[in-house]
Amino acid sequence: MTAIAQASSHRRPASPVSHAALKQCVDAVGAAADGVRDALATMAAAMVDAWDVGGRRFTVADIAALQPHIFEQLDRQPWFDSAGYVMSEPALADQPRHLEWWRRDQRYSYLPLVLTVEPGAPDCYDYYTMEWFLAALNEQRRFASGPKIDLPCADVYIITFSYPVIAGGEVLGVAAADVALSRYESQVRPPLQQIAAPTVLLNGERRVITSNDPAWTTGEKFRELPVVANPEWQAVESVTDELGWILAVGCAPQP
Amino acid sequence: MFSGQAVRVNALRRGAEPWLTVPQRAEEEYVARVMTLSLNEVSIAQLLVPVTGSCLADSVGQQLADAIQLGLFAKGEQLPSEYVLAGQLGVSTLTLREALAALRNRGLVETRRGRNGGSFVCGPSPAPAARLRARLRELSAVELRDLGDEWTAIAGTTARLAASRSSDDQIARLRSLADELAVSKSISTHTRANSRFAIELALAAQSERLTRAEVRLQGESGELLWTPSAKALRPDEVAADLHRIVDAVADEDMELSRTLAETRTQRNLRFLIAAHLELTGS
Repeated sequence: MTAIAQASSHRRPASPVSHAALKQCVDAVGAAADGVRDALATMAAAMVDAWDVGGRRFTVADIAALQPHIFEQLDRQPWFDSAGYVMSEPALADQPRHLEWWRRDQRYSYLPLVLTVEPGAPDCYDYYTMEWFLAALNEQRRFASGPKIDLPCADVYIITFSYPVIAGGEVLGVAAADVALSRYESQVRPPLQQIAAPTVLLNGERRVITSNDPAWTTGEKFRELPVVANPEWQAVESVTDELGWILAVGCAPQP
Repeated sequence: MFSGQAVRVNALRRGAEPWLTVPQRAEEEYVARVMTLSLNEVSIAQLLVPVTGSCLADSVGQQLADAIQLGLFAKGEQLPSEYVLAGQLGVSTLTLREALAALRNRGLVETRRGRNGGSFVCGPSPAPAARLRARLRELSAVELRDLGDEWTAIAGTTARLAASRSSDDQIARLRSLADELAVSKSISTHTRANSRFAIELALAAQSERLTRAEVRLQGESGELLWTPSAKALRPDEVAADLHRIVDAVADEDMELSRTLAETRTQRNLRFLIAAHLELTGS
């Protein structure tokens, strides 16, 4: 049964949500998303510092030297399952493509993710087709992809956040992180739980990121984007335009 | 029905070191016992999943602890000898001894020395409400949903197959477990009746793999369903659903059995997420 079908039965009177309460919730969820952006921006700034404008391209060794900046964010952001740099082709000197990606590990603290990224290889992890890479590269903006199960990496339920690394007008690549939803939930859901009406946070493809109502479970896809013209919904707000996230407040408690 | 051949194949010890294989006669006894496929008679250790990895003893210990908590071993029951149990679980006797020591520390088994010695089950430890609340708070809604997804898949298929494979005495046992739940008064008796119902249904489906999956799910999370909460599940209402499932199974209505079991599991999931929200809300 879909969320919409469930929402349409057993109507009960709405508990109206004040504008102030809604704004507080939108701001808090936005702040949780901005926290991830800030962490990625810190990683990006470290790469920009190492870049020699108009001079030498990066070698793989140059990028490896930036590993401490990845580890620092893995330590600071407990919901990061893995993080790293994904390079654009023109920024590289000695390889066609490169991905410097690390995940946390209980025993060794950090473990590298080794993927074949060479174009044309049969098992190529072709990041040039991934929306989170292309959006950061071409539109020079942050992006969030998911919730999704990330099979190539670690089959964890994640959202991939990305942020462009820009030096002298050139996009060197992206700083990105796979954020584990089981942990990130504690960042994005509490603001929703402050609202005394069923409230859901959706991504741009109408998929539930989190909600304060057990009827709407993470990963489920709404058939239609909530709109206030629909009497089911009392408020629909954009959380972060760049990410396409939407906060929707329902009219009645879910059955 | 289950053919003897199929049972024999299923009864092969998965992952056991070859030198630990149970002798031929014991194997035959096991086949004879498993034919009846009743929870009272099947060797419970057989349903536990052989494990590998560095924390072998922990993993074995947890599985045995779960089985004891679920009441799959009767209070006072003697565990199989270390040699046999280690063989069934596919671990060394050294690993098993380590696991049993941990169970002793938790007060779940006691070891008696002497001619009639061995390890004896002390029965489930009480499930304090505080511990269940803490566990439900720690889990994320995402993890609970994923648990519910797997549980729905297992419960639905189990009920559908049971509708075409169960015997009259299994149906009678299912009914009595539902009755037991309806009048049960404590977290541990709710858990026991409801979890044993699910496992008995998997046995009625005649599938060792599904049974093992259901045992694992019940062990992990069976008692969480009875976490005290403002929206707590009512045992009599759950029992009424279980009776509807048994009715459909008895009618050999495979699709209805599946739908009813899936719906019940969805309600359980809904409760777990609602209780989690309640516990994490301010």
